[in-house]
Amino acid sequence: MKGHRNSVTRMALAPYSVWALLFILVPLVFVAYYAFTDNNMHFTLDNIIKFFTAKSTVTGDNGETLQVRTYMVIFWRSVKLAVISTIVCLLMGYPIAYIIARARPKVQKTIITLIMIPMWMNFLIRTYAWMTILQDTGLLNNFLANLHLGRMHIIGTESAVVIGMVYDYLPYMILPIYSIMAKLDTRLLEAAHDLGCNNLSTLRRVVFPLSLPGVVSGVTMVLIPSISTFYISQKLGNGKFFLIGDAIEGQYVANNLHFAAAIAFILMVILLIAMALMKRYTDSRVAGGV
Amino acid sequence: MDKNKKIIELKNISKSYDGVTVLDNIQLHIYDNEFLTLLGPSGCGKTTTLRMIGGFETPDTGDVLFLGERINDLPAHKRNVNTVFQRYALFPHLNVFDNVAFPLKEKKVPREEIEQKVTEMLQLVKLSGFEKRSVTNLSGGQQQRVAIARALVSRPQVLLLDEPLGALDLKLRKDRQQELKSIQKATGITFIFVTHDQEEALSMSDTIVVMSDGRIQQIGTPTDIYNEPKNAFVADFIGESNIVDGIMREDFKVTFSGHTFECVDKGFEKNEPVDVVVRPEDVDIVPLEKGMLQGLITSVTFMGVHYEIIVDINGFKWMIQTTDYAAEGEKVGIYIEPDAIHIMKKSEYSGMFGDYSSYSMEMDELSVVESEDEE
Amino acid sequence: MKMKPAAKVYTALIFLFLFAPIAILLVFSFNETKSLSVFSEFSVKWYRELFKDEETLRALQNTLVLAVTASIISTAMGTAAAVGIHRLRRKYLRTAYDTVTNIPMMNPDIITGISLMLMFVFVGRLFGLSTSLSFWTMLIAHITFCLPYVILQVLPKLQQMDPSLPEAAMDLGCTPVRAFFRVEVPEILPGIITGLMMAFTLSLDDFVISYFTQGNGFQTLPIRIYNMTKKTVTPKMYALATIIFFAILALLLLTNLVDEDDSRRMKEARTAKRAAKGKKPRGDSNKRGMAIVGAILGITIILIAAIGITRPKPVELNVYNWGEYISDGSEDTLDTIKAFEDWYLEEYGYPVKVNYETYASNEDMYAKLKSGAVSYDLVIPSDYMIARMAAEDMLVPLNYANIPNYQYISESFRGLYYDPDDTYTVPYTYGVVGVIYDANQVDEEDIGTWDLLWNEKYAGNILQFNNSRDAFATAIYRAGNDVNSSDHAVWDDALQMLAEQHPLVKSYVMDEIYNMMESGEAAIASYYAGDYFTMIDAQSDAVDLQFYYPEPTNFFVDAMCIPKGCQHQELAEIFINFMLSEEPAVANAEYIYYASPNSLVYENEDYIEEMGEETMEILYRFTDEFSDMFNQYAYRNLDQETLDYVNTLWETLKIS
Repeated sequence: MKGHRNSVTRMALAPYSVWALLFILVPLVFVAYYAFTDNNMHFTLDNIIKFFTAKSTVTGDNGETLQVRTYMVIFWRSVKLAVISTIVCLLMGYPIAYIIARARPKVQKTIITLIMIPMWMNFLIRTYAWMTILQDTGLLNNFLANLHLGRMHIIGTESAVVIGMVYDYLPYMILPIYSIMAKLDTRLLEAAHDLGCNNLSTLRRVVFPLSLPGVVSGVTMVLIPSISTFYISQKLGNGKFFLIGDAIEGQYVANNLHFAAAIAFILMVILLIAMALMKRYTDSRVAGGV
Repeated sequence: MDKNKKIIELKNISKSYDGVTVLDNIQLHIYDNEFLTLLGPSGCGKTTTLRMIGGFETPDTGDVLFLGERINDLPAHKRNVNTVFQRYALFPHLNVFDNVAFPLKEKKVPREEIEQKVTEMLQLVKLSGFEKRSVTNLSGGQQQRVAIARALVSRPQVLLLDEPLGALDLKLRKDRQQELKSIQKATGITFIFVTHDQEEALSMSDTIVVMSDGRIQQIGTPTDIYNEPKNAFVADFIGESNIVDGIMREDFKVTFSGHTFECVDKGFEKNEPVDVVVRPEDVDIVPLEKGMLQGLITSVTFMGVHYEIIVDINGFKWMIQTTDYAAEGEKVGIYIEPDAIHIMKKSEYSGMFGDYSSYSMEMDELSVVESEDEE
Repeated sequence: MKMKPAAKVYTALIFLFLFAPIAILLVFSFNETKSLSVFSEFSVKWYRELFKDEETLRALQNTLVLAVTASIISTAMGTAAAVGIHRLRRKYLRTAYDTVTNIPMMNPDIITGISLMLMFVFVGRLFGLSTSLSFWTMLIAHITFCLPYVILQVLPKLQQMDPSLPEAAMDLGCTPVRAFFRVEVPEILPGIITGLMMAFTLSLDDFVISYFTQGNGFQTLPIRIYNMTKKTVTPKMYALATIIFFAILALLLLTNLVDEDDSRRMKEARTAKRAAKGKKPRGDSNKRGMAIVGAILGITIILIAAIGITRPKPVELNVYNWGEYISDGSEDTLDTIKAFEDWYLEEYGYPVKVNYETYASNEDMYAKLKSGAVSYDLVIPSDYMIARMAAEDMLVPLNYANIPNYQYISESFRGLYYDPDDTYTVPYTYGVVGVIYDANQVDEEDIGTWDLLWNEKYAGNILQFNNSRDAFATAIYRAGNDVNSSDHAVWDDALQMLAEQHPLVKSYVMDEIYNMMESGEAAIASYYAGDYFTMIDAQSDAVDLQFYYPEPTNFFVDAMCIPKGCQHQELAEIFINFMLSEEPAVANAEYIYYASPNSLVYENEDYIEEMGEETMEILYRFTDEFSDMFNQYAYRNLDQETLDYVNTLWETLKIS
């Protein structure tokens, strides 16, 4: 009987195992391989070194010239914008997930589908439409001007890039948090009320800790794509914000596959380490698990 | 129990969901320091009543009073009433200590005091040394203790217990009943206990409230309820009962099964139709000729302490519990003492209970399993 | 539970945020002009155009085919994998599988895309394939990134399931496999459906991974849209987005109706049997999911059937061109590709199928070809890129005997530096870079030279190219230096100028220039002469766009050539010849608005009339002296060292 079960397990796992090996693991080896070789496929550390040391001369705020490390600047800018976007997504997405999870089942379904609808429409086109809204003579500014609230310069600023990222990735924050909250045992909330919590402290002391796994996957699902995006920054940043994704794409288009692979490799390593740390941290927070 | 201090009053409470009435004009006083049990089958409204006291439901009509003050709209967290939930509702992200400390932290109690109170509570429920354990790894009994400690730690005036023993096995349940009772005695807190298990209710309570179909059927001490059931429902739900149709000839005289008996009840109309209750242990089997009634034994089951014997008397099957053996197929006489006969007014439940013609042990067990899954 | 007012307002705001751009698309899909910022007049013409646009419909079909195939395969494989993983008893194995499954989710899609591309190309080279990327590589990529989502949906359902269920089934006589289908599958079905839906959604919307792994003959909608980046994104796409939106909405309403019915029946049942308080029969959400999945499959099959051409297609010609760079039949123009296919069938008696695909820049196209990932029969690069490809032996000499119409190419466009002996190329269009400005915002005395783009008076209203070569060129021309210099000093100097310009620049643009100039969002830009006329057609009332040529400036030629590795050289030459014949050539010139080197075009009376005097004057001002100017000012192929250096400088500019 046991042997029988094992063979079924093996059969069920076999296609995925082969697939994961060939198309998940081996390609990563190729990234590393290209990152550490030159055009003649000879081993080199140049690409990696270049990433950390390449310098540019830029003009500072007061007109002075500064030496900066090109890719470090690009990398930190990407991290900064991605982190801001993720925080904004969390702040916007958490309450809505909570609201949905507390609504009637039928309303829940409707809202969730409505949130998913935009994901079915091409994100390039939707980002494009944001240009119309945000530009200086765009809808938002016309609207503000009509209310005599003055104009805002948004397009081409970091805020515009953040708005674009938040727009594109907000559903990825809402959905995982919602799915955890919807499963939350309502008796736990009643218990908290019973033991003296008002709505706010119930949220802080019971709902939030229990929804942490959802928050973690939401944060992951927003942080990862926003760190590496290269379309949003081009369109809404007016081409002024070069992010790490732009750098990779730029090197690919310039046919520097090896350097593109090197940037990708470094990004990957950093992200994997960051994710492992985050997982360790949250695992300890939600010990006992839900 | 302090009969002078009504801690909770329910006045004219009604409640319905989607047009289905769940509570129908409930009137109830609960005294300070009382162990009160809401008893009834699933769907009788006992849990809804409890949740109304806890603050999780609001009545459609009627008032909930706490020490004479109306608290209908007071949210749960402002009521000095705590609940032990049916499956305990322990917070899975907190360990034993933090679960118990939860309400204290909410009240911003100083840290040393928290430690001291939690330690005390865990001692009370015999869980010392479990402070750092994850609640998800505890056994059912241990989880229940944590739930009780958590509910008691902030010294509520009333503790609500929603079938807290339902998830435990029989042996453990008996132990916990005693323990709960002694915790109640030790703390002096009013306990309102919900169960569908009549034995549990009888052995633990000061007062039992029997509910059915959203209405209170009877309120009384365990002995009252057992000995003087108000109607056929209560008689049947509490213990085993033979319930037969009878006619009250005059005070202290009742006719049933073709024989007129002496009894101890009075105050009925002449020739009023009534329900007559006779507990199975109060029926004696005697030789045929000495019996007030005669019947044929149709089944005999050995129960350990006694035999359970079904006797067919004029087509109505009686249950008799006796330590004397009688054989199946034997014709026997039946003897009933006057004080073993209890007379009840006719009610909507008349004729629905008390006949053992379809009796079987399995049926009884099945109904227990079903009711555990309720609400 | 009822929603509180604050919650309602908040929900409404979130939806405003999520749906505002969609509303914009919806409104502008009914715009008469191409603009996405100025609404001129209501029109449904883009919807008509959309249904005539076979390439876009095919891209839509491709996208759906890919999404359906990828989601079904990944769901089947992922579900099996989840079952397998669930049954693993050894802890280290579980951990290993969990980790591997998480990789595609933890990795940015750009890395997944690049890693797969590197592997495919490497393997392709190993086996000496002419093309290593294809539909299959894209499918593999999509399945790969969908798989973890399916597994992570199914696995929790398995963990929630009572483990004795399958055992009970086997106890009652099921084989393990039967038990799986009869007991486990129904139990985990909600997870499977959610996984399927997620896979479908992700695959449908994916751009990045597709961008790196797409191959010949299979372009998806996102790629097609991205490649419209040099010209403007056509409103047909807004129309398509609108249709997709309403299709989904209708689908949801439909399933909601089904739901409504269900819940009414349930309510009745509940009143009759009041015990069932608040408990929902499980099949409910399953049914809804199934309905959606079924409807999507149905629509896809119908679309495939409707678009799938029934004719046999024995010969396929793979053409790779700039986005929006051929007359495609929209707005009652000639559908060049279709015209060729029809003409060919009539002329030669057997059908030909043109796979027309697009790229966003010379460098994009070069990167694809160079990596060996794809092979095409015809490409249309610009001059300097042709020189580079010729130098790297990437082009095939043409057999001009098959291209008799070459005679109509004016002498000015022969023997140019990139192809001095006329071996590899047939010019398609040419043009000159000029400066476009809004006369309502710019003073007349400031115009005439490159200095306008550095004029501080117009700070925040100036647009600059968002590609390094063109942007640096504006600075180098302004300084009077050689744009093809390999002297670092020239480029450093240019960077210095661009850095000075940086605070004045509103935006670095490619296709965004159209919206920005048309709406008056920006006042000054340099771009290709022909595109100026496209903008005039759509400019808002408050804007008065004008144009001049600064001196010196860039001259360019885009020419048709055949890359090495082509499969049908003769057919490609026949196609080139067809493109030079009068009707298609005129149609293309009118559509693209660039100048044509073809005398059949610039001497055509209808064309001259259609363009108008002013337009002809601007477009064709340099026809006679073209070869001199071109040889002096055109871009040349820069050596790799200089290219890398320029690239570095460009990144420097972008981080300041």
